[in-house]
Amino acid sequence: MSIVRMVFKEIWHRKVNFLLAVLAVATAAAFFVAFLTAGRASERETARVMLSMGYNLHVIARDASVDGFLITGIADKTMPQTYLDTLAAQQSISYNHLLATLDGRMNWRGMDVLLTGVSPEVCPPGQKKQPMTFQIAPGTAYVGHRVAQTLGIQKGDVIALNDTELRVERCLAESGGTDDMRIQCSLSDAQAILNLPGQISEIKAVDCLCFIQGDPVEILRKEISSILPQTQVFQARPLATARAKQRQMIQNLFAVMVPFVLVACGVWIAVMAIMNVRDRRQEIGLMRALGYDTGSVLRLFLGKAVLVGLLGAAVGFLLGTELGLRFGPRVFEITAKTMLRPEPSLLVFSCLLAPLFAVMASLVPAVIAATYDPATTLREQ
Amino acid sequence: MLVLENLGKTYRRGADKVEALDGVSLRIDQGEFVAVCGPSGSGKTTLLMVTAAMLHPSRGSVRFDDKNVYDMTGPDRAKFRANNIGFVFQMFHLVPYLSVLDNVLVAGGAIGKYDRTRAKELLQQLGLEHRIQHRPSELSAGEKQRAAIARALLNRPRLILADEPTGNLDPDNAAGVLSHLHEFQQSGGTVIVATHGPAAREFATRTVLLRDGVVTNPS
Repeated sequence: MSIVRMVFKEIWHRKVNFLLAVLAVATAAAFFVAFLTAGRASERETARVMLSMGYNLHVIARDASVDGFLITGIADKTMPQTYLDTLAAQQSISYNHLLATLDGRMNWRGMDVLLTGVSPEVCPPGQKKQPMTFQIAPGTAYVGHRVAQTLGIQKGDVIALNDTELRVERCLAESGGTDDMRIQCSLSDAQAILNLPGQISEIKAVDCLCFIQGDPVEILRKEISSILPQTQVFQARPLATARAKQRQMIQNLFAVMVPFVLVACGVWIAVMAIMNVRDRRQEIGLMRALGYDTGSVLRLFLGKAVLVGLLGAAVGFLLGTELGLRFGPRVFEITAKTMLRPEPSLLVFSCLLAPLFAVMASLVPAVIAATYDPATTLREQ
Repeated sequence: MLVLENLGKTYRRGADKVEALDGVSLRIDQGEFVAVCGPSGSGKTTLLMVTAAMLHPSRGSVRFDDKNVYDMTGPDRAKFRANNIGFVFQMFHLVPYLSVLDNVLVAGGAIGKYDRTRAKELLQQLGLEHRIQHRPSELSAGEKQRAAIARALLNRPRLILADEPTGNLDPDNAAGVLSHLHEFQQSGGTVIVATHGPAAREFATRTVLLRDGVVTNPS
């Protein structure tokens, strides 16, 4: 009667006990998986919501008027478009979601409008992210609410700006800001319309300094000036601070909660394991009396603990993921469709942790029982 | 074969002390059938456990073939038990989730030898061939004890220690169990039976009377 066979025979004999133990582990694992799945979704949702607040980092030409930029939000000097590629090519930098714009004020059909050419968003190597804003294809335009209303422009119309024809892709909803006065098109179209080939007014980005100590502006300025000395850097501080605080809050919440959940699940599994070992003390005594060494007795109990842990982890992962996917979209409305997804890493994590917890929990009582004088254990009956 | 010298075992609970064995000395030769008799609490079970290298004595020594078993390491004592001693308990101590055959083979696991043929032969000799695949819960008390005897015999031990083996059996089954132990003794094995009843004395080559941990009929 090998130890492995005994493990399976005992499991088969005490099916209900085994299933209850698996259920306990599965519940703990499901809670753990659902909590972490929701936690990750929550982090992504927070990051995404914060991103919707807009770009908080602005890089303009060194010779542009700072006063003018701060008053109008438009740089009065341009810089080469290649700056965008230079910044985007950097490794280990503190910003992401880079895009270049070319801005110009013009009078069009008797109305003062802002023309903004927008490049596709680029990310530094290894930091590929979903774009924060819509991508504008060449030959198309997005027309601000006030401009569209005043001039009677509708989706599908073809408008001409300095001999460049653009098809209106979208008339934007009212923003209550300068975007209502803006016509947005691709960067190349804007360069043609404004006759500034290869030039840009500004590079916008989102800084990634939510979790650092120190002044982020100084860090960013030092970092970017070393790469592009012919530029100057501004950070929209209220936006950056709000984003940083919100992300820090959600990170701190999980930093506190995850260990708590891990410990709670571990204790739960431990209690089940201890009960199993206690129920089988007579069996341990018998095996020791028959001459089984401590290692064999431990294998008998720890083997079962591993099986309980593995099966419980797998069932718990499926259950937790199902719960997360079923109820997550009610909580995470923005990112649910694209971001709420099964986390295979949690299956691996659960399959390592649950058996480990079960083994650790079984180990102490099993060692104590296995090293008792078998006489003592047998006489307890 | 077996020499117990001045054995003492003291159980302590707080300030209380119980002398379960006090100066027990016995010499048991190969092929003997020894009945250790005495009332409940006289130290019979403790004597068997100490003899079986399962319970450290407080004093004295247990020598098996001139080797003090308590000079051995724990793993060596376990091997010693697996190779030399078979056990029969009053409560049978069969593993509830194993079949009768597997329960017998459990003893083989201790020496890494799973001799199914011998296990089946033993069960046949003990009249359990029709119960091989049954669980302990499906057996009568007498059948359980016979299964336990088969388990005790599997590794061809030199010594069988039986602690009240008939304590839970009716007279017919008790006689049957003692008869099987007697057969083992007749084939050259040594048997020590702890009992408070008179039945075992019929088969015993020697009776040791124990009272309050002291042998009252030293030979």
